[in-house]
Amino acid sequence: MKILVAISDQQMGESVLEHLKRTPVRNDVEIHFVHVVQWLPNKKEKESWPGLTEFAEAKWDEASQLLDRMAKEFRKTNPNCDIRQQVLHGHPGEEILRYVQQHKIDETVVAPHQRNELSKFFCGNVSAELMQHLPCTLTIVKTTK
Amino acid sequence: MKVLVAVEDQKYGLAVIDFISKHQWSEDTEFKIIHVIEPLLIGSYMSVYPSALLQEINEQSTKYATSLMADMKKNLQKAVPHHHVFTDVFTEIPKYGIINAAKEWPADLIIMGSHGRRGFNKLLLGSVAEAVMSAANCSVTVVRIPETDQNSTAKSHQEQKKEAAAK
Repeated sequence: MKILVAISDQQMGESVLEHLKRTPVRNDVEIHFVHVVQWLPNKKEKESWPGLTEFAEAKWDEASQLLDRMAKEFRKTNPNCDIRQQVLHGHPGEEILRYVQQHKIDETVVAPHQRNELSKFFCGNVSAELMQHLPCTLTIVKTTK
Repeated sequence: MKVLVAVEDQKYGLAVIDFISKHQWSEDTEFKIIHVIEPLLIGSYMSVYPSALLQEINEQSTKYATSLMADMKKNLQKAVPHHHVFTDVFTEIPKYGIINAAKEWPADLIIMGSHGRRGFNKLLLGSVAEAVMSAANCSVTVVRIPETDQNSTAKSHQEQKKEAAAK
């Protein structure tokens, strides 16, 4: 069984880990921790604004460190699970969907931001998008904070 | 931990039970299986149907729900033999029924199936799972049956029908 855990930030990641502690997975599970970086400067933008290269690298490092922390925390309670990490770049809904299809994921776990209707309209609603298009089982973890 | 299992029919019920059996559950976990019978709104506001017919429809729905719950309880108890499993059937609009049942218990997790309707079908029939997902106060798991399994199930139903017709 393959489980994808999509993490957007530290707080959401902690909520997902808390959920995974309460419904532990079996040892033979392959778990993929994924973070999607929404915007990175392209080549032209980097040439025009040299400072953007550093910004992009910092953003990528930040995402990798977040996944490292999550994977480390998860390994404490599930030492025998096969843990994989991947930072992706693009639109979160589309990238998660593509990853699920590529890796034949059986279950996706996400912790969405608690947004009101106005905020959903402007910022989008990834969980609703996943709900509509994902071919696999989806768990929406409600944040405790 | 309190887990509310919302079941609509046999096919998705078994998929949900399969999902539950693939996870481990803490010792104190309780499972409540519910089936929500949709009320016949047309009949109650307009006397389009004769009351005897409505009564029969209600009786049939209750009978189906009772046998479905007994079957689901048996299967789930097999999957999680050390946990307390109980059932409940009530009449309500499904999305409100599930959300209210989760609030009242109160459930920590709702597990339910989804038909994965798209386009016109979704517009017409709605999506209970989507409504529950956005309104529930607790975590929600929506179990999908992979398309390959759906095709194989559909094929096996067709084969069964052909066999029955041949007999």
